[in-house]
Amino acid sequence: MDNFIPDWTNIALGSLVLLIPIALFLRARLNLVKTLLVSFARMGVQLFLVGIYLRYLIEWDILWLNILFLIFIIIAGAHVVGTRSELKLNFILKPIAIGFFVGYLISSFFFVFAFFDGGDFLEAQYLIPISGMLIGNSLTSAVVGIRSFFKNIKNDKESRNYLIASGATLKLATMESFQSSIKDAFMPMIANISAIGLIWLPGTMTGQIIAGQDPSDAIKYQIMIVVGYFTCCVITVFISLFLARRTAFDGFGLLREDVYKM
Amino acid sequence: MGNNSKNILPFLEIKKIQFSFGNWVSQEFNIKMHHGDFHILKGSSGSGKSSLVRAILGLTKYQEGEIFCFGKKVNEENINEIRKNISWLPQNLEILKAPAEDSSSLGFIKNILEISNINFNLDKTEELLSELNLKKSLLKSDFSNLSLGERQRIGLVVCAIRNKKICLLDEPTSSLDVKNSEGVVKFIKEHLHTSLIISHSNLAELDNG
Repeated sequence: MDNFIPDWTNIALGSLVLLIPIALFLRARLNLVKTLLVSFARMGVQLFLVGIYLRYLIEWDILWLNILFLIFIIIAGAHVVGTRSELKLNFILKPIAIGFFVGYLISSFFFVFAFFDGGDFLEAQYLIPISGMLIGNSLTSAVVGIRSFFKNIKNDKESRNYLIASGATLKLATMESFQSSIKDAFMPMIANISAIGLIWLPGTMTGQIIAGQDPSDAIKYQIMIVVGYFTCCVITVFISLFLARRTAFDGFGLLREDVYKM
Repeated sequence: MGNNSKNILPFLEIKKIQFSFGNWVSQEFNIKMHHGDFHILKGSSGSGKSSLVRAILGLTKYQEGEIFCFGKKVNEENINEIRKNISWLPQNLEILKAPAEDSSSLGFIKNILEISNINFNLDKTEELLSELNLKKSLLKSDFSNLSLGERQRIGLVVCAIRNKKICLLDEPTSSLDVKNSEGVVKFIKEHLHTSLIISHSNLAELDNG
């Protein structure tokens, strides 16, 4: 079973187990079977295509193409976070994208530097899987942090105005909103990290162990992956909020209500 | 007061200020205040008085007129400098909060003073509190448990410690009984020179000043 590589027949066979949820849904008259089938079919097609284009990207390894891919991933990630933030996209997209970009650069540089001594972190072999992993894992916390900050500063309007009128800078006057949104964003992630290995094994690690890797090697990647996405996410949220705060207030220190989606 | 200082630049000058929200249009405000003046602004609620105070601080936009503080027209460039020279007692005190790390009344006072770059002095604070008929022990109570009347007087103490060129006091006696109101009037006369005061009630003593 060493280094077993599944083909599409294996996958079709293994997916037969889906018949059980389908049967249960049908029995419960849930009217969800069509949606379920479409979703799984979409996932199959999307991953099939990703498999093909990633293979070529890694094979060709052309710098500008790698960077183009990175930009695409970052904009797609910023778009996902932006649309769920309840803020106008033309206001929040740029801060999040810049946040992702800096977060990715710093954490992937450390990742590649520590693990692949002398490896160039802009090489396709590293850039493509690591950028997807870092940004993909940062999405949920980034949404929570940004949403929570803008909800807090909207609710805090009057007490903030009192502080501003007393001479506080915007940074000082929004400090408590900022602190509580950072807690909202990262407490679940930190709690989750403390449970890794105890309650659950992350998917990447499971995959590596099944593919025949020594579990004690697989954990090394896993530790660095968690360190990487946590750092990337924290940097992203801090930078996005820092940049967004600068444009969310007018010259009088008043919150611009037009940054919120109506 | 003020009569002998007509030739000096007024600390605060309000020229033809008017607010409108939707169909509602406020009265027109014209005020000139010099150093040492007490100016009482009366009028029914909803006439735009609180908006005027907020506009001086750059917290509310106005459609008509101009505001000058210390001879300068209030704008985005100088608003921070102007705010540093004004003390404000807001009307809706229930929204004020003490900082998370110290939620006592003392924490509230210290926080505002720190923001204004003013050193905290416990003796002075306790003295001012007692002038307003508040006990020392109030400093240890959680700020969120204070009554509106207590908040109002703590707010006045903060204004007095900050000792700024102008005070804007929005209904400083609205939650107080007659005896405490009289105490507040005395306190304002003694500590808060140059005040623009909004009030429904008759602060007759100040009016004569």
